[in-house]
Amino acid sequence: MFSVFADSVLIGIGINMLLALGLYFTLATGQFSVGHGGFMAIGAYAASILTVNFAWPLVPAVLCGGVAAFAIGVLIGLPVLRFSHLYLAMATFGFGEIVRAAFSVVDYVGGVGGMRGMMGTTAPIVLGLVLAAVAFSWLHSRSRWGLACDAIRQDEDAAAAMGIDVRLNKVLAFGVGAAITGVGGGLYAHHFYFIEPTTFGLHMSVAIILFVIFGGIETFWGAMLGAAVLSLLPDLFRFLKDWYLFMYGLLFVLLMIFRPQGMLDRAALRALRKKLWR
Amino acid sequence: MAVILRLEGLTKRFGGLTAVDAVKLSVAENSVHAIIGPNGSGKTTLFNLISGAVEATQGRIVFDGQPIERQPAHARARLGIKRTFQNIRLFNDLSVLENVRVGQHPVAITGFSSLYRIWSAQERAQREAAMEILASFGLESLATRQAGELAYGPKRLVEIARAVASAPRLLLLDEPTSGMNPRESAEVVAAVRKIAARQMTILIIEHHLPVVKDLAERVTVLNFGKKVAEDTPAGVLSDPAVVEAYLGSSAEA
Amino acid sequence: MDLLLQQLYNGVLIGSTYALVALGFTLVLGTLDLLNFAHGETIMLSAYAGLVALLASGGSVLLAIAVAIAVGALLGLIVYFGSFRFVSKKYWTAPALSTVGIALILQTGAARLWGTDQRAVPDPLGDAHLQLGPIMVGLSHLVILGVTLALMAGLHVLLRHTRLGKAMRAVAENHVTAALLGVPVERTIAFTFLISGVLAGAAGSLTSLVYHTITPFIGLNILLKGMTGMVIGGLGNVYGAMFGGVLVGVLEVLAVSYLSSSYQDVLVFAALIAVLMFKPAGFFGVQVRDRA
Repeated sequence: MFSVFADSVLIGIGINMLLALGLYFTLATGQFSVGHGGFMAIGAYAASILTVNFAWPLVPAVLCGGVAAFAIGVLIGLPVLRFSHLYLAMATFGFGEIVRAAFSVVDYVGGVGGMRGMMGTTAPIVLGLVLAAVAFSWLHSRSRWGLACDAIRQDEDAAAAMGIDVRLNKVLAFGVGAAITGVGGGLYAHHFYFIEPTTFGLHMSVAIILFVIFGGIETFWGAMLGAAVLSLLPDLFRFLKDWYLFMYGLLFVLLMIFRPQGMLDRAALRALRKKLWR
Repeated sequence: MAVILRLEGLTKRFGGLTAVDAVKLSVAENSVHAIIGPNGSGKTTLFNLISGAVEATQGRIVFDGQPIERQPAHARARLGIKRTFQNIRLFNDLSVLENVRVGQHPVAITGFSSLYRIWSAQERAQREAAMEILASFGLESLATRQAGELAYGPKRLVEIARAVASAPRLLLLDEPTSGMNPRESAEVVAAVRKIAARQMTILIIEHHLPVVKDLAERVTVLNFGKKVAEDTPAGVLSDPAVVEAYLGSSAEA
Repeated sequence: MDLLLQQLYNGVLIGSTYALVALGFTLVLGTLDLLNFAHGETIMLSAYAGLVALLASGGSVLLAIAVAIAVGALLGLIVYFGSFRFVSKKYWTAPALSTVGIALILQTGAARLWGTDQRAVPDPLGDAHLQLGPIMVGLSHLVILGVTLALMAGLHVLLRHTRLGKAMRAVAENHVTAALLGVPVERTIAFTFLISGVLAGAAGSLTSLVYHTITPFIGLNILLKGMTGMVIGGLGNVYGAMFGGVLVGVLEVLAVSYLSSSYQDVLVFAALIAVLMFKPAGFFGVQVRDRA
């Protein structure tokens, strides 16, 4: 079947897709999270504690990690999402850092030294979870819930005037996004067998953001595309080693100047659909 | 005639500014009731208070016998109050049809459960109903167009279609003909007349006095946030206080 | 008790530099609703520039600060062009994301240029100090406090008594109205970034003088502390930012002495999130509109 290397690449792409999809849900209601690494960390540590210390099987543990991330997401989102997007951006910025700082001082999970002992994950499991997340995202995009999110994204006041509970939708979307990213985090921990607090810091949050803004912020397919393409780049551009982040930074700036909506926007998606269904 | 909306001592203060000052108003069910007044007289703020976009400083709002001044905007929409905005607020990146479907939210099943009802009979029926509403406004050919691309006149019609999509009990129209040439204005007026012929109460803010004379059964005049007159269109337009309010500041006639 | 006083003094000292961070950040936020994520790296890079000047000039602290301020101003303008002037405002996240990109560029650049290890920042005025009762006041501290107060006073005068300041306040209030009133909005915005950069530059050199070390990775941490100070003081409130920054400095120093240095970050960031969640208007901010 697949070689071990190919398996590893697929798993890496799958995990990144989950991370990106999670962030997409936050963007879906026009909100912005600069600290999704924090939810990834929660999912990673929760799942690892369950498998390593309590001998849970992988999938339930990872799903539990998602639930933990959902709970924290809702906890933060409820008070903060009442106000303008700036507050969520700042709160998530702080949240990402506080999670990193907090896990560094908790000895139960290894503190700064990190946590190890996780068993591996397999490509079928990862792909299965990715498919589930994609199915959920697709249903969301076609449903009235997705329509409500779109409306909120365009104009919150008009959406409220049409009967949409803006705050509830924003909190729910934020929570769901946190959960999906948390599941990605759980799989990440079991793929790399080792996690430490700095893994999930701002650089990780920024990488996740880049997946989505590069691929396309208007539909969930964009997040998938961005995750897939940017997952493969490190292998193709190995010579850039130390200048990685520099290139990422440059990509951010160039994207925002020349194509802020990302590669795959609604128009491109429609054109693609027309070509495929010919 | 039953009273569907009653405002009692409704007041809104923004810091030092009193935008709406102890307004008392009764709107009869299934009537067309106009609110007029010079710029800055508090008309849009009054609408914002009724729809819930803004919270009242003081006073009561009673809709269908229920006090609603504590209810958030989305709850009032579910109770049957829908509106359009002075500066047309469509969901510009969504299609015309999608805009109308959002308008159906108060009477649709939304949230998590909507995930498995995408292909249900009820959803299909609602999609057809949305198309029918567009058709009744002559907009069916624009259904798949992006709302932000439309010309001004059709945009306003889409906004009205979106508002009536949930068969509301009370429709608030905020200067629906503002910025329009006579032809577009006439289209909007015709649309409003058609809506008024069904069972719906319409509260309309208007600057074009001929439109007011044409559509409204009752007119309330605001100035500096206070009610200064209330009568039939003919009665109000011959009231010296009203004439003075309008001629004392700039307004279109 | 003596120790407490010394710690409070230290807290105010470091807090005053955080106040500068908060001020620079809040200027851009208040005028443009823009979170400038490159602010921390601007501070960091200015600090390095100051260090270079300090070493090259054989210990001139004032030169170091001046160079840092100049570099900060330049970086402020770069952020203006790269994240605002040429970025489409149609997508409201675009400018902020661009600042994230600039932050990455600045950080990697600094790491490549100066390595990732900690570097010492010598204190040429080091040994000279006064003893004010139980508190030891270093000479360099006086410079730091002096510069900080001068900048804050300067900012106050700028905002309240100059045309530029009035223009900045008008633009912060409402761009459209300001434009209609004849305010040169684009130029005012450019100046706002410039002044924010000046404050960042000063904050950079001053913080590195207080801490006596520098690494390419201090940017994020300082930005968060400045952000916390700004939020505590109340978003958009310049005087609140000054107060909040100082408060954060005091909190941090007390946390290090009474808890442990590993908790210092947790405490400050917890304060940030707590304020955002429960009292988003901060101490002096305008009542935040509840959009529920």
